[in-house]
Amino acid sequence: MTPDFRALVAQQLAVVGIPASEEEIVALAADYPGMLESIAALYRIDGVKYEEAAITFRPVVTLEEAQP
Amino acid sequence: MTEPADMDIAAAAKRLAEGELTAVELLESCLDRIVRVDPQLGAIVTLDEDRARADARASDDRRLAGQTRGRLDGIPVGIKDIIADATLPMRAQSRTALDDWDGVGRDAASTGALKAAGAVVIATLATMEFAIGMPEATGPFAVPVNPWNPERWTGGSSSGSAAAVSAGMVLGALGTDTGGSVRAPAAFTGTTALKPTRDLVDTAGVFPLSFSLDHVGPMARTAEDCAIMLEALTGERFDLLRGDLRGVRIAADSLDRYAERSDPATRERFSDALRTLSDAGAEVITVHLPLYDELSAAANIIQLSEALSVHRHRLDRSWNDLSPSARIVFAAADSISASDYVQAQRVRTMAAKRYDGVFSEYDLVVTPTSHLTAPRLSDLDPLRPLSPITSMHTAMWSPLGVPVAAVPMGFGDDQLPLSLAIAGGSWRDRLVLDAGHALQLRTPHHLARPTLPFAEGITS
Repeated sequence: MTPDFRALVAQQLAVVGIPASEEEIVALAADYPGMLESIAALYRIDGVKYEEAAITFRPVVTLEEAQP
Repeated sequence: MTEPADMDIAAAAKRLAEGELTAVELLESCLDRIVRVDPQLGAIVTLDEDRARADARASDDRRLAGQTRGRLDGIPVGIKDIIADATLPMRAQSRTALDDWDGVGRDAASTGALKAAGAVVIATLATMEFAIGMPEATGPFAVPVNPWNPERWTGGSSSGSAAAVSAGMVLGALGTDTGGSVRAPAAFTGTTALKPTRDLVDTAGVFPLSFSLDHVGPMARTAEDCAIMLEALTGERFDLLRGDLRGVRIAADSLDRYAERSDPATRERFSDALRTLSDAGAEVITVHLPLYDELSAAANIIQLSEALSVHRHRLDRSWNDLSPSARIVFAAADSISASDYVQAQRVRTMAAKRYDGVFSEYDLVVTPTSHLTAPRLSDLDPLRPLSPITSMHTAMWSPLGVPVAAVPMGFGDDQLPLSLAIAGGSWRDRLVLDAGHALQLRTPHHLARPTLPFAEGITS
């Protein structure tokens, strides 16, 4: 079944309260399949190490900030 | 005779040092150029002539007192309108209020560094709203046009910075680069720019677009000028360019296979550039770079996600004030999931390791910056804000954080500038600029100036 990208985009935007116009929704829907494909391709790449941290958190704390 | 505004930073610094030119004379030449061309070019957002004149006089006084601060002292520069200045208003080219951002009203680290080096910061320069999307043709801010052809765009998002340097309104400018925003406009305007190694230049005081991809970079006419600016921005020595590439291994990839469209001259100009680098002593080896599509996709997903996180909390109240393309960008970002963002970061890490291998085998990598010259303003569609990056090869480098320069490599069949991308391993910014310098010692492309047909009396 072919997804209804216009409806999908409209629903996603409505959920977060983004009041996009019909023209904007249509434009987004037109680009949606390409974006989905580029995202899907990222999950197909060999060599990705899932056991490693994807993002590292490096808190920078100055001496001043560390004072109670 | 060449007007002072047409000089590059190195030449102007030499004349200042030799007493053949004063900072005030240099500034007045730039201000005169602004009056004559900016009404058509639209590069300036805010100009403070009084402050600039005071700063130029102070520079001349320092020189007379033997207290000059170096080669940037007295040089007129501009900053992109998302980089804060203590007194010039910073609007990020937006109608929405920036009240909840604490960077307004004080110098960004990069602005402060240029001022500390004696540069005369004369203006803020145009971009797109929040440095994303497309120029807004019907908005309250001018849309910079390309000095080489006013029907063409400068590229973005450091649009005004590139236009101002290209047209001689300033000798150097600060831009920011998240997916190619100093390199693309430099490529389209025949100027030179560097996206430095990530974290080499402090981004504090820059309105954020994408915190893990944002860079501040110098834009100027030559690689040597970028080195002079980078020295001021970092406090490190970058002024030792030799233009001698003996012992340097350069991997060359035409990226023809990724160009949906191409200016017919791109291939020949790229081959010319490779020959020149070889003449400078480099060993040039043809390669096929890995992970082009994957890096470009990761850059896009990371940039959109991080940008949305900056603006998400106020979209409901600011939506109608946003430019059409900013709305599209934020709405598109909303379709990316948290796991997609994490996966993009995983791919980025994996790709960075892969490219560590590339840069252990080769000192530099060169490609065309773009296969196309500047796009027509009439072709820009605010509802398709990512369309100008077609055949543009900047995004793949952004997630890697490595230094990449855009250097003029000649002209397309439409007589508009083409550009060479020179990339190096992290912290090898000087070598990247040295390769650009080697190219510019042996070619005239960076010396070409737009004829500015809409400005009477300027035939540079």
